[in-house]
Amino acid sequence: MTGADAARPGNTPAAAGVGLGVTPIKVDIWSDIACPWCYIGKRKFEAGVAAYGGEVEVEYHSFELSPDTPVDFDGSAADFLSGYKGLPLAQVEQMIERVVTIARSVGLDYDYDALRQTNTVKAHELLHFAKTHGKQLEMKGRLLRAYFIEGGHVGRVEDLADLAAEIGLDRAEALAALTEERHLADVREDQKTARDLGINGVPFFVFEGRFGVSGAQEAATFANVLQQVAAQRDEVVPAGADA
Amino acid sequence: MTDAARDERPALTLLGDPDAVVCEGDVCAVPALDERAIVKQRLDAGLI
Repeated sequence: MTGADAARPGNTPAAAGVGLGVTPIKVDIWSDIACPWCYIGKRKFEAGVAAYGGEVEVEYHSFELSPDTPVDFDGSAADFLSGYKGLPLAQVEQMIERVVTIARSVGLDYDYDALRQTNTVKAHELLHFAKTHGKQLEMKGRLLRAYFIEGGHVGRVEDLADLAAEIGLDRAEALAALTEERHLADVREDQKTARDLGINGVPFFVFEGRFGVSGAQEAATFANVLQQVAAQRDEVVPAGADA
Repeated sequence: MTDAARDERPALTLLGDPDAVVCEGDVCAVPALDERAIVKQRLDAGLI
């Protein structure tokens, strides 16, 4: 991923970059699908990568914010937060209004009226499936768009298989992987790593396995962090040496 | 990753704005979305 193709799906990009190190900066991102700040943070991170201008390799990891959410919740997002989670309705409405406004500021048209609250563990399994086929970033973007913008269901395996097919993955294979829980252990491993790292909230970004950045930071912050990480790595690895 | 490798993993150095919004626990960013709640938390904590 470079500044020019920050939003484009892919795996490890070819080593490139002048004066910014010869290997991509690895960024591991813990996030959930049902996480408005994760989508906003993704946009801001990608803008930060663009401003940084060097090579970045991104890998997403699983984090379930609400693992007790049923696959099929009968009601709106406001119903879920007020009725199921017990928050005051006025606070919920204020929260939704605020997050919709902020999402719009980064070009995301959240539709909370259409949003279908669901359990996201299967979506996380699908992200691991997509990763094995080199399409994790594309899958992540597709799932977030389906959930927050299109009113799609990201909890049912048939719907998830449809989304997988939309980005060019084999629908039948994706469906089998989800039904057989082939990647559930990968999800659990991500969650254990998050606990080991002390990650309590998402989005959470880990740069080169050493530096942590919590939350939907501004693009300039991400760019600054990338520059710091690159500078520190350059201090360790002499210019011209293989990293 | 083995348990031994996990134990040897260095703690993360945190960078960036510590007040950036996150989703935690069951409910996503409700405190962060409510500026009045944030102000109250900071007042209670003696930060402002």
